[in-house]
Amino acid sequence: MIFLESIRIALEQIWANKLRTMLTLLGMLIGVGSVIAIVSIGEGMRRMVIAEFGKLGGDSFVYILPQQRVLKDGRWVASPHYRPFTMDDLYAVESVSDRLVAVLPALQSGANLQYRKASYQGSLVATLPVHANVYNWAIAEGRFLIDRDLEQRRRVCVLGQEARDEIFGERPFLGREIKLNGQRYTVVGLMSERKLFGQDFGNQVLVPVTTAQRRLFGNKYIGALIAHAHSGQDVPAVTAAIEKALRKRHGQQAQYQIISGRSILEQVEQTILIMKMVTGGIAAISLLVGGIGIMNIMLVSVAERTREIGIRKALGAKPATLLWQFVLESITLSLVGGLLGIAFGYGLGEALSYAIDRYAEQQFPSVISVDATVLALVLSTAIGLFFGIYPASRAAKLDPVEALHSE
Amino acid sequence: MGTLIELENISKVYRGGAEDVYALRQVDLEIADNEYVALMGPSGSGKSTLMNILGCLDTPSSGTYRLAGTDVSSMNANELAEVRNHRIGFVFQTFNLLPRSSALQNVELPLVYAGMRRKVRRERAIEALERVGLADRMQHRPSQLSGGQRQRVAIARALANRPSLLLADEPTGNLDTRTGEEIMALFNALYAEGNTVLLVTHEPEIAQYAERLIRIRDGLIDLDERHGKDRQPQSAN
Repeated sequence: MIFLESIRIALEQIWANKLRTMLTLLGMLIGVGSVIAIVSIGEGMRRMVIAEFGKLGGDSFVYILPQQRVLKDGRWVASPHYRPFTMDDLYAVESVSDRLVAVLPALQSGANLQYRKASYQGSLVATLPVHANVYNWAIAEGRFLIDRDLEQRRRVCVLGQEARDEIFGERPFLGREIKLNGQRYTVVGLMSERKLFGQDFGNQVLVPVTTAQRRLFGNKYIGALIAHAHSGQDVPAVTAAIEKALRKRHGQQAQYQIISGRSILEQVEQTILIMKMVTGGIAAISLLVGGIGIMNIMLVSVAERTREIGIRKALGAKPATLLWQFVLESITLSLVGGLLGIAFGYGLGEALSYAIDRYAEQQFPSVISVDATVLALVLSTAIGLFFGIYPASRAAKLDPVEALHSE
Repeated sequence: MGTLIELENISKVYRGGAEDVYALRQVDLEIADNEYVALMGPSGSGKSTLMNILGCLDTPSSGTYRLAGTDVSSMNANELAEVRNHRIGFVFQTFNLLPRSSALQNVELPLVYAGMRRKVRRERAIEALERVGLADRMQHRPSQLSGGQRQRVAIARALANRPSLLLADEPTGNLDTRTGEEIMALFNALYAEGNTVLLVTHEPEIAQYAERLIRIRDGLIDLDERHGKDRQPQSAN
């Protein structure tokens, strides 16, 4: 009863002093709003990263590199067992596990394309025919690399959208010869458009790995193996099987560096979490400011209503009753600020998401998070309680005689 | 008729810097149920202090105050609040209504603090407002009421929790003569219905309404007389 009565009085006070209350609540609004906006944007970012990661193979792939340096007596020295991978290594581990979808070579460099007067600086990816399937990347025109390209070390290439646009524009390109890092290559296909993490894959020029090794790199090495398992759960077993097969070839002392999709994902998540916490912490400072505003207005309110407090005391309000009344007022005030802040925060999140989408050409959804909303409500209540107790205790402790005679 | 108020040796001392100031000096006083008492005295006489102690708004420095048989002189703030709520109905010179609440809400307030259920409390408040003749003004705010009507709301509020003592502090001080007379007529009627009324005033005409007159000066009762009876001076020893 006193509970409801107190909330009624609080809302009445807010209504009676609209402008003053709104100005006071700006602090809460901005504080809660920025916390909400940051959490919802951060959550949107996290979900986007996970979704994009899924397209890259999610957590079901693993990079395996030969360890070049080892720690010896506290210093990094060249490993005596280091041997760069070759395609033979790749073929040797390709079928060590039935949980393995494919193993791709990691071999990249810059790609300088020339066609008549047009030139373009792209990125060269030396790979296998399974590449398109593994990355779920569709061909737009022509064909992708085929086994025969590899066997015969054909000088063929498949272009990304941007590379095609820059070199050929609207002109036909299938079957045309271009110069790739000074050598003649025939264009056999065009990849569909693909963007991940804001990175455009359209600058890629895909060539058979065998051709690239001989003609562009002049050796038989590949930088790393990228093993794609059926699922993330298969990764440890697959990795172990590959390592075993590799050691059989390189000797038991050989060491490998393993970078799994999961570990990358975890790092990214960790980074986003830290970012969220840091920015959230900064936003929390504005909550503190909001809380001080609440305390200020409650002190003003108690001073202004000293007489009312006196009347209530004369009529039998106990100190604890008045304490609760003013604390509840403070909490109500703070919660109103918090609710406005939640609305403002989601609005801000949406606006930021729209702006990023528009100017950074990046799908960046702002996510309404139940956790953040609950957190904001709990925080608002806690702030109202914390910053309301002191003014309320002043009201509760007022001497009834003095309070009644104040103006 | 039982004794409602029993003051024994009541003193109130305000601790000053150089010397202590005595507002009340060992006052003894008894007021019975259903008495109509006027308390008079110039300013600085200790009249307000006595009223505050009688109303349980303040506690004496020494002495014993029994209200309806209960010693209230050493109660804490919570207990005093409860006594005020259940035993005492205040009527103030400046009405002291909550400006943003309706007449009905104002009258309900002591019942809210008594922890009464909404329905019961509403019935009791309406009853009290009907008693003071404001049944048709229940939803009005104080600003929409005349001075006399405001004081009637205040009286209804004082009556709402059926107190043992109605304590009126200059109840006509802010009213014109005619309205003041109407309010005094209401107190007369309430007295006739069995209420105990303590009227604090500095106006002899108003004090005339009471059956017993107590005058205080320099912290002492220097006059205590009943109308139609001989003077019964009661000096403090």
